[in-house]
Amino acid sequence: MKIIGIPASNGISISKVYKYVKNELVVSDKLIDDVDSELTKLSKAIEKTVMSLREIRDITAKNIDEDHALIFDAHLQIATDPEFKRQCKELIVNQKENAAKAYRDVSLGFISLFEAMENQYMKERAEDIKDVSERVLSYLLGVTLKDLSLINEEVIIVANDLTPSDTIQLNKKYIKGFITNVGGKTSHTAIMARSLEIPAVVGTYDVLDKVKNGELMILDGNEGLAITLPTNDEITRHLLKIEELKIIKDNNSKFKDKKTTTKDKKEVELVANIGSTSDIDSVLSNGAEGIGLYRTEFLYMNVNDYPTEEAQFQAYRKALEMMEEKKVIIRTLDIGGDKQLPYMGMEEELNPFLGHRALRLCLEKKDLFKTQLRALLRASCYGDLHIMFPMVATLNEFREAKDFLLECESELLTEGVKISKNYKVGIMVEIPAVAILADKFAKEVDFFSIGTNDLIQYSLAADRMNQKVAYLYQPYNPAILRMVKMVIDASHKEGKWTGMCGEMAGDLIAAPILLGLGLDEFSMSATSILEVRHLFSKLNFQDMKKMAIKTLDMSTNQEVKSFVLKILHK
Amino acid sequence: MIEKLVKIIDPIGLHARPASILVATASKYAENNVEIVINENKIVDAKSILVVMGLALEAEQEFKIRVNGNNSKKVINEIVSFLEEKNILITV
Repeated sequence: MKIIGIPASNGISISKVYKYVKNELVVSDKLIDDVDSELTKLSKAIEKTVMSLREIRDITAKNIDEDHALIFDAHLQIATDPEFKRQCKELIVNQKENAAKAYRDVSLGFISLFEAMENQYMKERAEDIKDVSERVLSYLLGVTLKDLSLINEEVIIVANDLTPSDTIQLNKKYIKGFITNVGGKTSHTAIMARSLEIPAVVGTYDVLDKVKNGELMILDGNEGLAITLPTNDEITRHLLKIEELKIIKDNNSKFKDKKTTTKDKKEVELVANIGSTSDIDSVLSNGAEGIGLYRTEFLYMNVNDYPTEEAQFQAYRKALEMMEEKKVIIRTLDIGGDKQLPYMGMEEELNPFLGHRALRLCLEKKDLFKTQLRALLRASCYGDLHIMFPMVATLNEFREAKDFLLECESELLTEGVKISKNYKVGIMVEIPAVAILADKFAKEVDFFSIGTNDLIQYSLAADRMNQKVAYLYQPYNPAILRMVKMVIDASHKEGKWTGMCGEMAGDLIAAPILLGLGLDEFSMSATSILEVRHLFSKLNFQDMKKMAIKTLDMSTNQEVKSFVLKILHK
Repeated sequence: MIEKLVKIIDPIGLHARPASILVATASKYAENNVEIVINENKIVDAKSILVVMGLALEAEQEFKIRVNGNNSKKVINEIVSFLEEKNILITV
């Protein structure tokens, strides 16, 4: 049976299904006589929980990094909490409750206590307590809890959804892909899959109901589909496809250490988008010429508290050192909208995408911004640092941010800290007003990086995650291409450069147009780089220039797409 | 039994990392009871993360740390100086 979804990460896998479903834990009300036996059951369950949490913690520290492993330290503290144990003991000894019921009742007590707190951060702690209790209860009830990190055979994970916490635990050695009911192309599941370089398909609606544990599945992340209970014929066909993909990959790998040049010797830069320093090995092995976007939000997510200046400094320094002389563009905190931080205690907005987020948030919460800017400035000596502000709407915002950055710099210099004189400061172009006024911005920024994911949505006024209007997400729409050209030309006039970190940069139909429009730098997921470099090596820049100019004079997305495909096929 | 009056100086108050550090520090002393005293009616176990976080103490708030058992003077001094070093609280 064929299951259709949204392609989230490239690759084809043929493996066994592993259904990731949270088990139901049914607790009975039965009273007990043997108090000692129940008390022993309780300690044993807590002991086992502590052991698995320690294992998971270590695996996470190894697979991702120390910071993400801290979540599990917090879980360990909850599991061994003495007051919790005391209350359970009291119910077992005095009320003759069975261990599972006692544990569940006490956990519900703490969970409601935390859920009732006003502070959003505290509310979220209830989730931690639920998580830990589930673990202990499953040991008490003899129900297996599925720990993704403990999987030790090759499988494809099938789930309703995978949270960043779930995906953090995954070991590439055994996890050959995932497929979920919900999620979109830019959801965390998708981004994680691309970081792990394993195939993924999301947004299938009901894959979880359609498969059984242990069944064979063909997962095609390129096409966005899965085939359950495949026929021998289908298996053979896909094994061939896997071989083909491998050959293409090997061919592309010849381009690893080459510069990106066209047939007529025009040079551009191909760089990578990353979420954390653990992505950098893949960046280097895929021949990226730099990092075009380091999304710093991941330092703030999946942790219990704001990352300290020191922790941030270590991360930025690591990125700069690993990339050596290659440029690293680090984007300041871009949260709000669909990316929330529970410990921040943010109010809900009716329209988060047009709301208090990213740079606006940072200009209001200057201590938060200061911590990040200080960490960045301190790291500046370790490589070629480029600082980039997201969601800039007006020149005043940029000026305010830049002035604040310079203030932080003065402070650090007075403290005797060494700061590079060569770091650059640029902005993301995602809001149409900036594209249209690019000539004024170009006088004050060092570079532009076009964030097409949001630029397209804001310009065509449509949410790409909304099925009803997703068709309006049109990267080849001449309106978008004209804006891109405006930005590129404005930057060149002032002797500056323009890059692009939106998905469009790695799109094989858009990239030649962008090349022709004069885009200087293309930032994409590391795994797309070699393919694009290979493509550019076959193109003639002058021809692409002529092609691009023609597209600016077209009227629709489809017109542009068909025209470009025709030219490329020649 | 020995007590010390302290004030929270960590700007985020006594949750997340500061609470975790306080609890981890207190828990090291298996031979002693370590408590947080808000007032005579509200005394809690400093080794319990849930209870400590549940207090939802904010920056600038004061409370007493109380230690019972062997070497309580040494223990309370160690605990308090460690937490002072971490910029979580100061003695008042």
